[in-house]
Amino acid sequence: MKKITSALVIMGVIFGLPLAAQADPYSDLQAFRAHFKKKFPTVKLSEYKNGLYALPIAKELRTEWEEIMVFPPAEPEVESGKKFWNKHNLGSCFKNKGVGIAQSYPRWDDKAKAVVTAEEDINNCLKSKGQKPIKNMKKGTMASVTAYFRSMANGKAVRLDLSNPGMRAEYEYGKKFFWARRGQLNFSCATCHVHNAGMRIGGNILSAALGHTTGFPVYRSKWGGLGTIHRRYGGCNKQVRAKPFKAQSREYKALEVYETYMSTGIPLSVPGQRG
Amino acid sequence: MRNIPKILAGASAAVALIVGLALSPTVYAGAGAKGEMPSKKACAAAMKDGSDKVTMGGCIATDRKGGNCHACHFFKGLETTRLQAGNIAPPFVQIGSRYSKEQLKERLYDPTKLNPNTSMPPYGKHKILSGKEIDLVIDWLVTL
Repeated sequence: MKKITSALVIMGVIFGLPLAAQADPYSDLQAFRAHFKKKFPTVKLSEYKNGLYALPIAKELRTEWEEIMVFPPAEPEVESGKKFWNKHNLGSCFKNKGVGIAQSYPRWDDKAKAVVTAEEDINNCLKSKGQKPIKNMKKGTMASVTAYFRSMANGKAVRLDLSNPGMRAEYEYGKKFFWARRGQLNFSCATCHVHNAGMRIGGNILSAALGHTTGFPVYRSKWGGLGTIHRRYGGCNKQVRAKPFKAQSREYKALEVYETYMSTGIPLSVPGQRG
Repeated sequence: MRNIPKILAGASAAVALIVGLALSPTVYAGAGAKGEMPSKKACAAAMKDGSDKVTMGGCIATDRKGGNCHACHFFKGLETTRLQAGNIAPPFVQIGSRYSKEQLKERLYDPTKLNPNTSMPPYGKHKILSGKEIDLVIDWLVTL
């Protein structure tokens, strides 16, 4: 018995340590996907682009959702985003005129030594043309222009480049944010969207974190309009009775990096329609 | 949304079964005597009066800004209200015969002490409820 125990301890040292050291983004991603595969074995990875409606428990809600999607309420806003985009010739600031590239946002900017979100690049472009940047980063014009930009990459699988150490550090910061408990109610993002995904909290079903970023900006019936992902983060933080951070704060940008990387391989589906 | 009644019916059937099997079902002397949760009006009255601790506790438990217990737990009486129960946590069944008031107090004050991975908020530690409110919720809990 003693021999077996010590053999196990040695094996643990040999195999356990490298495993711990291997907690790189790619193994994080594998573990994240495996968790949801186990929880929802019938749901394909690409299905998570549909958010809550990907889950078997939301089957009846999905019927209603599909009916709404026949005439998507977000259409007029995305249309106005497109007009704004064309009016200011925003395509000129982006690779491939901004078509089919949004799946790789947020990106790392080596000159700025910072994470740059899609919203920030839209404002960077406006500034480079001598225009005023858009102030409200949660809804309105910014949400509609971002929705148009990201919709031009619909169907493209999320793919982030974390090779820069600076980007990697923000990934780790976002990961920490995601798993840390906060607020008076003491919930982490993971409490609801990893451990209790698919369960009911009051009358609402909790979505899976897998694919969270792929539909943003989304149109929420509750909002009656489009909102950016940082708008949603703020709402979530308020619900757990934590002080929300500002849209485009370091915290939310890092969280977006982490959640986006966890959605690797899932196609964009912008704008998402949510309850 | 539409299958909530089904879930509630299923859960209440289970509750009824367990209650039926229990050796000594506790008598609910408060507003739940008819198996009903008190209305908002009844709650306001009970709070003002201050003598019916069980009703007061039930009112705090179902107040969204109070315990909001039904967000995660199912319990008897909810089916007569418009409140929708969650299913994150176990339903409240025979609480009074399974836990002492002291144990409940510990669980409400800071449930992470017993289970660091729990989803349950630390009602006392984070001052979500006052000590007095926690005692009232427990007075109500032990009648379930």
